[in-house]
Amino acid sequence: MNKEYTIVIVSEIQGYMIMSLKEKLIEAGYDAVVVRPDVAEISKVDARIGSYLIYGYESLSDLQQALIYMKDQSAEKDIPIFVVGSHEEIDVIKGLVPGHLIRQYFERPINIPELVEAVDNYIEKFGINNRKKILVVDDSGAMLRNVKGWLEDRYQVILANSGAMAIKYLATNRPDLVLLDYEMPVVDGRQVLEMIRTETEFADVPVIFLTSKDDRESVMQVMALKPEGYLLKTMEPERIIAEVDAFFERQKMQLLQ
Amino acid sequence: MIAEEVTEVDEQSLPVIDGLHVAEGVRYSGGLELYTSLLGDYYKLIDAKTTKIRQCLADHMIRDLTIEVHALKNTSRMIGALELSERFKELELLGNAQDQKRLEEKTPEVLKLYQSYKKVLKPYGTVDEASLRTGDAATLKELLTRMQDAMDGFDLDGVDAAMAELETYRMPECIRDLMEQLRACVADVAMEEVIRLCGEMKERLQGDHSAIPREAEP
Repeated sequence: MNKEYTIVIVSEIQGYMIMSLKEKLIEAGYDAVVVRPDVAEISKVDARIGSYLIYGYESLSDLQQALIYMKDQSAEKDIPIFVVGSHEEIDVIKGLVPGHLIRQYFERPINIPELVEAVDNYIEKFGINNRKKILVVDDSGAMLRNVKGWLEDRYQVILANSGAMAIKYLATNRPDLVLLDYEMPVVDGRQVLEMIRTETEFADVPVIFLTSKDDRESVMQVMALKPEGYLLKTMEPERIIAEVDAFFERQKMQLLQ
Repeated sequence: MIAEEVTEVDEQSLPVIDGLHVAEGVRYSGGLELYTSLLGDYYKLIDAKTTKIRQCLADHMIRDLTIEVHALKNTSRMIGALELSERFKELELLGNAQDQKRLEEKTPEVLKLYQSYKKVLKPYGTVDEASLRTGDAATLKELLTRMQDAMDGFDLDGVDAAMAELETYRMPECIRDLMEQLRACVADVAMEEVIRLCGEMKERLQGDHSAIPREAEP
């Protein structure tokens, strides 16, 4: 496979381990550069960045600005972040970078071939442009957290606990799919979908309802609003994941035709 | 972390929790780690949800009550509290039928069963007081600002990280009650409430009740 990505290894120290890591990444077909955790140095990397690989070290206080920069780049351009460090170093980084941007943590001591394989597998499987963004809207925090847990390894999952918050998110963001609870207080799923469909900015965002069995008849009545379908909340997690995967697969097939 | 593929649940390796069909809960949640986290969130909300349901019933807000018990029907099933889930389902059906009278008859005993789960779930939702450190107002305010900004930015991981750090501190008396509410609201992803509570807690830490400008980004 032609790998046109550069892996940016961000590390204060550039000893044997780092150089060995760089070599292994190059062997795996990537371009790899080592930069200090400095915004100016990181931003100078003029290449198609496949991932940031942050190598933790003792003095992490200098890392803050660099982490903020990488976090912003990662969110904007879908660049996955991998972190290597001790348990404590990983905790510090977790406090500064949203968890959904960090694809995997590797606690020291690391096995370089295994680390390179994990990074390679991730990029091959999901790519930097394949992480679809899913907005999940449900008034139940438990349901929101569960759905996030099921989907976040393949997708970027954003949560909103009400129709109002969903509309607020949609005003400035464009998800690839909305999973929308049908039954919510104040503004229910049907009303939220009506609002989405009447806004020219995001009228064509695909929406799949999340509903319990009892609501099925009601859901059928609003098919005229063109949701992509519905999922039953009683479904097993594997089935929900599979249905979401299948939706994006169908979408990809339609685009290729 | 890359999630493990969901596999068949090995029931013998699961904890035994009185009143819960743990295997069912783990199967539904998609893994033991998610399930355990869910138990903690469920515990944190028991009192708040009980109060909400009682209030809805007293105020004849049947639609809101129905929505609450509908959600609790689902979350109770998620943790494996199958009988409780069925009881909430009965209340949901009464709510759909707008049967205020029977709701008034049935709700108290369901809430009693719901409250009884606090005992078994407490280890999953509480912190060890002895291990807490004392935090100064500036540190706590910084964490609350981080949480507010994360919630405003739809970053739940950031909210959870800030919450985890807040939980390592012993709260000053002036915000202890609000911290209880914040805990429940974060568990419930009650976004606007989280933002509001963070603001209120910062005000109290400031030492006065007038509105204060949003602190600048670091």
